[in-house]
Amino acid sequence: MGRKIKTLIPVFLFFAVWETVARLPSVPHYLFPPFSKVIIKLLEEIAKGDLVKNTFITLYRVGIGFFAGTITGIVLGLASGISEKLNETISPIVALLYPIPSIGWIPVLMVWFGISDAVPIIAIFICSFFPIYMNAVRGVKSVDSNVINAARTMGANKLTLIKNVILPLSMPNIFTGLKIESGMSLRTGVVAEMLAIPSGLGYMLMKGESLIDVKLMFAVLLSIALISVIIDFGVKFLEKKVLIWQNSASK
Amino acid sequence: MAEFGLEVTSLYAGILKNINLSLKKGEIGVVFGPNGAGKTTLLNAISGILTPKNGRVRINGKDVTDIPPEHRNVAYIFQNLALFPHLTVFENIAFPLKVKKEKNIKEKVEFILKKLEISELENRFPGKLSGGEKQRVAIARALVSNPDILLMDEPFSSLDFEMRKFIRQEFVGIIKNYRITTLFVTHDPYEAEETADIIFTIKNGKIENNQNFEINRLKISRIKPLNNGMAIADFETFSLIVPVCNPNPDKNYIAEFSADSIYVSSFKPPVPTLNTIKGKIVSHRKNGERIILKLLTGNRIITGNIPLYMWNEIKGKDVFIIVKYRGIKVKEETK
Repeated sequence: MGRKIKTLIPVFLFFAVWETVARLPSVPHYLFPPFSKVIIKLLEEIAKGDLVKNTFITLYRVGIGFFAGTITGIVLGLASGISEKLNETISPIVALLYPIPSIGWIPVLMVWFGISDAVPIIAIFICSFFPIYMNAVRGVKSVDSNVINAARTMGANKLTLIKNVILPLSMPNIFTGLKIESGMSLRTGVVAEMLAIPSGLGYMLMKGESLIDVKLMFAVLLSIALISVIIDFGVKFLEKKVLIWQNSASK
Repeated sequence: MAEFGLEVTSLYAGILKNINLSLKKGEIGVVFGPNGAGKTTLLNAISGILTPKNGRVRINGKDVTDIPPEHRNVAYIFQNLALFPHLTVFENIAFPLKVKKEKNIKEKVEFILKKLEISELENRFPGKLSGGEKQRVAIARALVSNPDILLMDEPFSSLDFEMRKFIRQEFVGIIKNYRITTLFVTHDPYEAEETADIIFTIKNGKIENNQNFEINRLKISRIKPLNNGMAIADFETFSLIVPVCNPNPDKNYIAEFSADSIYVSSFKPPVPTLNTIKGKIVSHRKNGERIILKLLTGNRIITGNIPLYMWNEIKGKDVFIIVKYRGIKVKEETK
């Protein structure tokens, strides 16, 4: 508990500095509102229902894109890790496409799909798929071949081997990808919404810009930060549960 | 009923060339040889992990050469033990039973946990076990599904000397108790000697059973230091000159020398020779092109090893045993 409070102290300090600087006579509030006013705006937007609705829209898009990207990445990554032939086919394509920033696809997707949920969802899918795929391949390759052979001599067929040995032992690598990409997916989703769609947190940011409502923009940014922290916490919590064997002495 | 638990005939795989060996049911065979000799390759070929280029493998009389490892009923303990790090001790041991869809898994696992005295570890993950505990879990996992044959690849190599000896003795007891045909790989001659019913020496991919590494360990009753790093080691009824620097007469010492360090002759050497003692042949056993002898000298039994052609010369006679000075190692006795 003491450690958690310790982590929060710098955050509170940051807010305090923000509040103080914004309240200096030379700083105009319409350009840099104090923290307290942003919080009031945040609560107003929540009460109005606008922020909540748009948060859910963003989360829905991130959820679908991230889930689809993760599952496809894990399945294809496991398959490529196991089959050298498949790896030799897919990996060069991945190596070619992976360096393209996922937000770089947004203009193309806009032309292909118009103003549609498909644009942020596919952009998020691309953002999460590649790193998870690569980490899954690496995960399979890192499984001790003796462990695989031991399972085989014990009578495990291919499916049992994948389900009970290879997949669980690849999970540490897969979680490395998940931890990085969960936050990245939210960022990609917000950018896609800013550019392509009149709904979601990204859209609210753009609305704030067009109304020159800096308080609204800060309230949305604060919400994004909060959601990121929650997602990060969720993934770490899941990791702890799934990789219990890495940290615990016993079940 | 097949007499042999394991038969390997004309096997070619990887570095291995024309390997022939057989083990009777319940026998412990030790494959001994230096690193890179092909010991692990042999185990991999027997387990089915590696497909041989040529030759046959039979387990309990059944030809398994073309059967994949998952259907051979072989248990394989790897050098690093290969425990599943994500499964608890209980789940590790239950794994082979689960994949074979056996019944009464819980009872079977609990029985073997109890038998190997590791019941209290059942909920622990391998990452939190000591070397010796891991060893026992690996053995339990190998034995629980009642394999036709047990293969072990230097499973004690990660343990320190004392622990290794303790676990090895315990392991031999368990294996003998279960009467499982076992092929065990090591590059440690002491381990080979202590564990084996039969020893296969492998070198450059070939079995060469002409080397003997049985080790004689004789307790020295008194030691008298001489000059030049030598001492007279007294064994009650005979003495040997041994190489040792400044031994402490108050400490207990052991002299070790391999069967290869002994020369046996039916006549007294024509010139006075160091470390010549009189003895009698108590028993002999053919091992490839060599004869392994048990020799009685005073009240001590010494193992010797001579070429087959010399046997006729010494058969039925009292013999002179010459222990090569350079082959003797003097060690402090450890309790």
